[in-house]
Amino acid sequence: MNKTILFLFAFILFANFSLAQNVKPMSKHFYSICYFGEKIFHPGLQLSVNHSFYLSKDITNQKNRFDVGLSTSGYFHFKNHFGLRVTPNLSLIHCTKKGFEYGLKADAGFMRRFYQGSVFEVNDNGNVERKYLSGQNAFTYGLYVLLAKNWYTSKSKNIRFSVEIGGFQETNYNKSVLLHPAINFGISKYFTLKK
Amino acid sequence: MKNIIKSSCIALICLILSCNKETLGLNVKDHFFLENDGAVMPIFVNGNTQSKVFVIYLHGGPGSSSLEAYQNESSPFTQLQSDYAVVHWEQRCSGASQGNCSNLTISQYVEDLEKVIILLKNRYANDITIFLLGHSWGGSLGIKYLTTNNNQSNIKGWIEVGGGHDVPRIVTLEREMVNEIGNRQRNQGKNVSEWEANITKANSLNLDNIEDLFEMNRIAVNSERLMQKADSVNSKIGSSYLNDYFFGPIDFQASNINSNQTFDAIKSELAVLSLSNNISQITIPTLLIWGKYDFRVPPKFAQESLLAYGSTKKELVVFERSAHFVQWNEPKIFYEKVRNFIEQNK
Repeated sequence: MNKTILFLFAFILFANFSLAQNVKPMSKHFYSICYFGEKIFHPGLQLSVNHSFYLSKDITNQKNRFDVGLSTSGYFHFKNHFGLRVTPNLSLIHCTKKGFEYGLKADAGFMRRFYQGSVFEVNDNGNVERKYLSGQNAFTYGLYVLLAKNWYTSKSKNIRFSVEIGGFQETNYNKSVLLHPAINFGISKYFTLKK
Repeated sequence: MKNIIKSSCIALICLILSCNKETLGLNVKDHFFLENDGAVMPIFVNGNTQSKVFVIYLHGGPGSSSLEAYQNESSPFTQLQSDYAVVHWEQRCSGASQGNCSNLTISQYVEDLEKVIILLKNRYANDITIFLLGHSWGGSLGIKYLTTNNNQSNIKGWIEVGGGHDVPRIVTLEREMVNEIGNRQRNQGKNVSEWEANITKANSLNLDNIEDLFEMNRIAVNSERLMQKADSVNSKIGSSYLNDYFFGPIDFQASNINSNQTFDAIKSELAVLSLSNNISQITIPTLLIWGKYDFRVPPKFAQESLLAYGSTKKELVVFERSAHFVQWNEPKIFYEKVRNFIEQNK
């Protein structure tokens, strides 16, 4: 499992270098790739596409903005389950002149937990049958504190590094809600407009 | 070339489909799930499957977990695993179990266990030898299983550890034990005020009342704590909690929810559970392991049970420095006793 975590770190780091380009102008759309750690060490990945709504017209001199997006995240709780979430999200972000951002992000959507391991059923005749892709669906919602640094306000690079700390809840399992503390961090890249 | 690829693919598919049985080994770490009637129960098979001796651990609770000290090297199960395969089965709505928590009845648990055994034979070999080791509530479950249908024919030996298979009788003995040992401790000047509180409270309870009955159990738990404080009981071997939290198979929050839900659902059935009359039907070799200071299921109950078992080969071993969790209080002796029993009866 430690190897998986290292691999994900390396992947995100590599992606960071490969995306660091001096490109301008930028669109209001960006995509993100993040390490997604359920309980920090249950490793996973989050991919998302977002659209920013700015409150001022000058993108590089903005103070506040809303981001709306769609995220897909998956993580492994080894020998327990693989969690897959598909969630629309909304972020409220304040940005300083030096490119530091802080805000809140909320998401809600669909989750499926796939049992992590072979699942068998024994029928009434005593025959064993294997079940594939066995799991359980749930409604999920989450809230995160968001911290980020962008480089487009100061150095005109179209990338941003963000850390989100919070958690999500899962209903419909155990007839109760399950809280999953989570952290995710990674980079975002703004799509560029044709010159 | 195409033909070679085609035949290779067919051979590979045949190979995959033909691998129905798991390969037996000396240090196996296998993990799979049994889905039955909405519950998805993990089964961890660790250790020496090559021995073809499988020890199924029936955990307590109901609603607790078989994965206590799962990653702990001092665990008696870790030692047993070098000799045999130890099966950690998470019962429905317990520990790392997932899925639906409905149908929490003893007969449902028995059906689950029957299917666990069918699955193990299907996965490993039909000729594996199986021993059952039931702790606390697992003792009740084991007895209920062994006295249902022809299930005894599947099992080579039965190990009951602090098994609570007759709750009304147990609570009466709990109160007697709290009075007897509590007074002795008080006279010796050990934890005087706490023992006085325990005795007064125990004597004020109406044991026909379900809430009072479980309150008696809480007093028993507290009494064990006092014996540990007086250094008459070894402390439980520690578990690597943080390691389990971040890297183990259990989700601790889900496990707690499971435990509470199970207890709430089954407590009325549990309060009147009495299998003392059933145990005369058990004729397979039986080993009873009890802690001298087990207030939750007093050793006097073990003596009564020993007489009632129908087995010709039966033995009671009382551990001097243990309470209810014998396996964690004196893991080394526990391992030796269990191993000897299995060697004699496998």
